[in-house]
Amino acid sequence: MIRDGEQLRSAMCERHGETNLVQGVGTMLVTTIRRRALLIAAMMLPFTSAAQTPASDSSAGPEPLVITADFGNDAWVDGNQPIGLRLSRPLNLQNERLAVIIGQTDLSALFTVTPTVARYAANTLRLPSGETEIVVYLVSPGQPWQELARIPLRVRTRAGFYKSDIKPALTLTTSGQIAPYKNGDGTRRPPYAGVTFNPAFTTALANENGTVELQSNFLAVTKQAQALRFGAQGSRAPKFDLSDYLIKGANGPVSASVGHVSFGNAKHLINAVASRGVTGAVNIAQIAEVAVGLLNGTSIVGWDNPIGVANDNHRIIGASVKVDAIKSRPGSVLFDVSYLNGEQLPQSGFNQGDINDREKNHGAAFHFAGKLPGDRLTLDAGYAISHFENPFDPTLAQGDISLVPVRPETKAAQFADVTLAILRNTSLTKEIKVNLSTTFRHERVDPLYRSLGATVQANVLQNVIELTGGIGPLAVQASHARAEDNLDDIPSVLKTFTHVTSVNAVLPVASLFSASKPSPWFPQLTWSLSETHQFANDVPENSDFAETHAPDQMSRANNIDAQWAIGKWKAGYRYNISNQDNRQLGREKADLGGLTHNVALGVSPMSWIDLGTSYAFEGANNHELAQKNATRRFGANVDLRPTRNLGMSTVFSRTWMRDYPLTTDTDNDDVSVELSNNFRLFRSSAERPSGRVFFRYQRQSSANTAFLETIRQDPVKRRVWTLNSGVSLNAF
Amino acid sequence: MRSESVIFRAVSVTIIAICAGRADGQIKVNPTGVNVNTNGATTAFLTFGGLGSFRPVEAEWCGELVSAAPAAGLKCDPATVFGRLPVRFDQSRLSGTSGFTDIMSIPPSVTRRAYQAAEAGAKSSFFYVRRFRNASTGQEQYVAVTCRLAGGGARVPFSLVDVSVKFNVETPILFIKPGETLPQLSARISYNGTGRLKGRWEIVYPGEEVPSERDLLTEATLPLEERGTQRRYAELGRFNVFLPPTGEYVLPGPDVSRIPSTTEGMYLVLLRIEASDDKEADSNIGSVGAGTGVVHAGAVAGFPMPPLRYVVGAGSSELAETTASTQVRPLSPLADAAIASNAPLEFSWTEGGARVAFFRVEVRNHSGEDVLAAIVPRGTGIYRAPTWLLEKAGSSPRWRVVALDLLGREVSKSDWQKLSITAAAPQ
Repeated sequence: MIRDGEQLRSAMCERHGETNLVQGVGTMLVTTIRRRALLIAAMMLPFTSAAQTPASDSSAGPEPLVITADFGNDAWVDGNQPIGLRLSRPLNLQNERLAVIIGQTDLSALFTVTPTVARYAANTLRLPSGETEIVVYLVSPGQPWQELARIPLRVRTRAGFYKSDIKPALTLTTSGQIAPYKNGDGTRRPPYAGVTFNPAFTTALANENGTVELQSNFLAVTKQAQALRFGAQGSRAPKFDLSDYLIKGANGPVSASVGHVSFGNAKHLINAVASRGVTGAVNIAQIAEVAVGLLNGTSIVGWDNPIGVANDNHRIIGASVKVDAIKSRPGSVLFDVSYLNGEQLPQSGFNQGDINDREKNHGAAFHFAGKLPGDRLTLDAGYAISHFENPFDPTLAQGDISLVPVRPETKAAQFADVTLAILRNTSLTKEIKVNLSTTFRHERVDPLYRSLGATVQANVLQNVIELTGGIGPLAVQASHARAEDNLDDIPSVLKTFTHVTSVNAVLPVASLFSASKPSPWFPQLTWSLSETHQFANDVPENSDFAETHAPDQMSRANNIDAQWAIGKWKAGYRYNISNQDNRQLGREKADLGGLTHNVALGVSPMSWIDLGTSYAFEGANNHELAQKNATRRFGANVDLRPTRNLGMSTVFSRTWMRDYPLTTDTDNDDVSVELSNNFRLFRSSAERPSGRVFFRYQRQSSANTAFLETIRQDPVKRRVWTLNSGVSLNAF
Repeated sequence: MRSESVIFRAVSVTIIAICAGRADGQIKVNPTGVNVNTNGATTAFLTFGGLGSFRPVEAEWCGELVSAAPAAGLKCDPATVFGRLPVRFDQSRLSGTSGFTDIMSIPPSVTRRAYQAAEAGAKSSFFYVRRFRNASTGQEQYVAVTCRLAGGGARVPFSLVDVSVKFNVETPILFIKPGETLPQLSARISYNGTGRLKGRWEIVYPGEEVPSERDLLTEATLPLEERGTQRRYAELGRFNVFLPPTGEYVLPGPDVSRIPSTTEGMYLVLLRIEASDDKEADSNIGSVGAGTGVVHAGAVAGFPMPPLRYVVGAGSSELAETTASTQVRPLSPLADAAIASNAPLEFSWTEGGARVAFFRVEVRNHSGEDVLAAIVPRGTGIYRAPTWLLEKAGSSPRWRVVALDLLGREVSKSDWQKLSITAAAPQ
């Protein structure tokens, strides 16, 4: 039985080869832990909710974290030599992170932290030359940084700063279903296991004049349905395909990228378009930037069209000139001009589904941003003009019919945001400061305005007044927006008005009582309220509208969120209620209500155990039909890491769905248990080559019972289970 | 004069429709008319009933109807055709009792044609006409649904018209190392109408059979008898949010700590949308003789929800692009902000510059001596300072952000921002 952290620390260090801390009892303790974990895991397989942790374990505190260097304390290292810090136990990622300061520089964000090693790949940025010190801290929310270790570091100096880093990588994964041969729903075990082959290549070359970086990822599969482009090409999709790549180069003020890139910063014209293509930029005297981009019309994967610009009918060309006029005050006077010329086929992007068309447009945009000294008044405004057309689309005409042509249109869009800081850190009392700012937003987008480079809602005029402020720890944002459509006032088209009022507030309750040392028992509260009134004033003429077709609807949504973090425990509660009140003729009773409660609780009683549970209730009420629906869900998860290499993850959920008056009653169960173990291929301290073997049991069952005039029918039951296993190998 | 002809045409259409409805074997549809989004795409769930031996053929949109004689019903005037339902959006299925479930997905260019016609003085409503054919007799019937140009909000069927699921990293497929925590993910959804968006985030593990396209449709897109038959996968979490009639919503993904990344292989995160109650999206299958009751079709969509792939293994997405902009700009703390010496301190800034690889946050004391620096890779724009920083930095420190390229050379830097440190807040 482990009763104190020191024993465990000794045991952990023994496993990591720290001979100065080897103690025979350590091995016994580790063995005990492993056995107990496996016993608990075995007990949980059929009945997860029965999982219990022995009282002695739950009362034990967290094991102290001991940090040791993987380089000799008195040895010098090169500036570009990777260094590692060994952890005596994995971090509890829910509420712990590691901070590493070398000299006076916090490099935490550049460390890659695995369960037992934090590694700094100095090939990214060289270590500071000379004798210095590494200070390692443990950071927990709401707690002072806890110093864990001070490790001397001596770095050899080296003239210049360059690197030549070429990293191939390869992972081979084979996984397949080993049981059952035939399932309850008639599905049979696939005849062979699937193999996934993931080669990747990363390169970084740099000298005093410039840099070149390359990143590429490929994927090969043996099952056709898992091919990257199976959704678009079906059986023609290649089984070995290019996922993505990116080559970035810079030389002085000039930079260029090829591969999966993004381009554009003009709100209404071309805004963060991400796709395969080419971009380039020239920085002029650090006040101006000229950039160009040539991208495929939508995000793609695969070998076809490797640069992304091969198809004239499906690409976007963009250019921009940006000037930050006052070098000493960046952002105080900033303007840019953008241009777009593009055409798209009716194709969706790789991670996208949409109702699309064949489209073509070109346009220009002007953007200005400025602020007064002290940032008390800021302005952000822009104007865009776009010429848009729909070229002939054979998928819409389908060969033998002639369509009414779409007339090309040139339309405009504009916006302006003005922010005024009214109060800044104004003292209400000695401790409580008040901040208040107001923003006015205006946006007008012409009817039929469309640009291929930006998602813009056309035919809308919107004005918003917004107040943002804080009183001590309380932060509040309130806004009121008024919008209308049918800006051309076409008599036969419905004109709709929308009024939206919303309030959001965030309050760390504990700060009300003790700002410097907040009590964890008080939650962080978030509240939001949104009220939307959408209505039409008239029924359009020369149309098929009747009075009942014109909307007059008031909807409200209210959310409350409370979150607690108490030591090893985390808890949360979310409440949401919404109401849709229809008021138009013939729809007065067509009102809907919705209600949700979500409760979640998580605890990490020991560094190698994470437990979590959640309960959710979702209710819907159709007032017109006097129908109610209720969905309840209970979920639980148990994650175990009894040894450095062994891991087990268990997830269970049960969902009940029922309606009133009772017509259907459905239960769904979902269980998943995964056991995995890492292994090294050779007796080496290197992380690779390495591998992993896993077993995964999954079971899903459902019972759907229908009720005909309250008479219960025989339930329709479905139960499937699978046992999958696999092995993965990491070659580099 | 024009209004007289419009009235005459409307009366004629109504009389013909009523007479046709009474004819034996007449195919009916519900709903018979829907409001559609003038400024974009629209999707609606339709049920046709009384098909008998008739089978659906194509469907097209048009501005005016003419008699289909000798066939039954009204068909499109060939001079006013706006387009045919593209095959890629055709999710229709025979269903129920001699019924047919049709998912009408109107591309924006069709509505654009209708709008331009209305702009020129024509009637704003247009029609969706489905042709049915009896293969044995060769008889044909046409059934029309009226589409009314509205704003896309309330009174338009609650439907999803554009869904993108992505991690907060600009890459089509995310590659991560085993054990790494995934970045946040979200679904950006453009929709019509208003209603509750409810459903589940699910995950397909390596080795599992991947879902079919039919499995990825929203539940409301399926005929009643197909609902509940889609393949389910391990659940990551549920969502149930109210979407106001404003057209766009970003649905946060599941808790990333629940997304597995231990075992190597390709995973798929699935967005599973359940049908919700929406009066405008309802289809009364009883009224058309295709069954009994009403089918709720809130959150219908004319396309499968896109699965989001990530691969645990050797690959890497560390170089993934962020949006290019010009200069680095400090956001918080504001210039001259007063901060208690024991208060938590977080620096944030806007990122920019194609060549920028890292940001260095620098803090100096009032004498100009360096107190602390921190290197942060591009992508986060936030640095949480050590709890002891302000005590070490004295009463009036300054801070700035320096953008660095891959070699650690300065690309741009912000102005120094002063901080005003006040006494520690009481414990």
